[in-house]
Amino acid sequence: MTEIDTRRQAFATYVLPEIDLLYRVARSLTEQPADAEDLVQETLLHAYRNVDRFDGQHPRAWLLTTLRNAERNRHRGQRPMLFLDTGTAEEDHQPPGAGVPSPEELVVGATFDAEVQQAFDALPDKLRSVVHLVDVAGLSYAEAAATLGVPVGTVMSRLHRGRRWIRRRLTGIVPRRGESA
Amino acid sequence: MARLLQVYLDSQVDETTAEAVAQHLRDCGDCGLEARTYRAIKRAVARRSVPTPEAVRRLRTFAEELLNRDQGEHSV
Repeated sequence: MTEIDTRRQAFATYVLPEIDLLYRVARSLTEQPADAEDLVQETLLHAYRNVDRFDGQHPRAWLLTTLRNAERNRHRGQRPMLFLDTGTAEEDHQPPGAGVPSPEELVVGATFDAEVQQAFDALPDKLRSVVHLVDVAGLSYAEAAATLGVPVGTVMSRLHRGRRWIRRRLTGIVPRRGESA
Repeated sequence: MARLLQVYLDSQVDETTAEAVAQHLRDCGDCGLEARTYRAIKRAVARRSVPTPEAVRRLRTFAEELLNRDQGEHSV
């Protein structure tokens, strides 16, 4: 088998199955869909050139790191910011409610989705990207951490803050603790 | 509990912890409501954006062209 054959086979094995994932992740890192497409193209090019040096271990992590590096090259000088978890435990000390209804039962689904969408779009960038990576792109915490180049603890912290941020903007349609009849 | 709930909803805890959390959510109406609320939010976010099929198709074509380009060079 020639070197080119080996490269082609490795690319087909490790990279082609992950294009969908790469695009979903890229969407979370870029403002515009067209930018996401460009970013994935750059990632694919880089992966193709370097796949012969890839050892075959953890291809998804390798691709996500490649994607992150490609994104950094597009925006040199910008680094991920650390969001400290400064949340309070106030929500853990509300009085218990009785006869708990499901949130889904309380709202029309479309309205709920629209409210969540609106709150999600208004999230600070650093929080939104983590929520997007985990909930839309379906990454694990470790994969999201690799993508952003931050510790797993930072991913968890931002995720927690992001979701709490969304929840607090849904108070009109989602019952808070102790408010359900 | 708030942080643990997030990790549980993301299926990022071990089996023993998951069972313990699930049991607590069954026993505690307050936390059960919290869990359903956050699960509903998580699902709503997941529904908001799916990959654009056209974009993914174009990227697949791009990747296949990378392969075919070298295939062409190799066969010459």
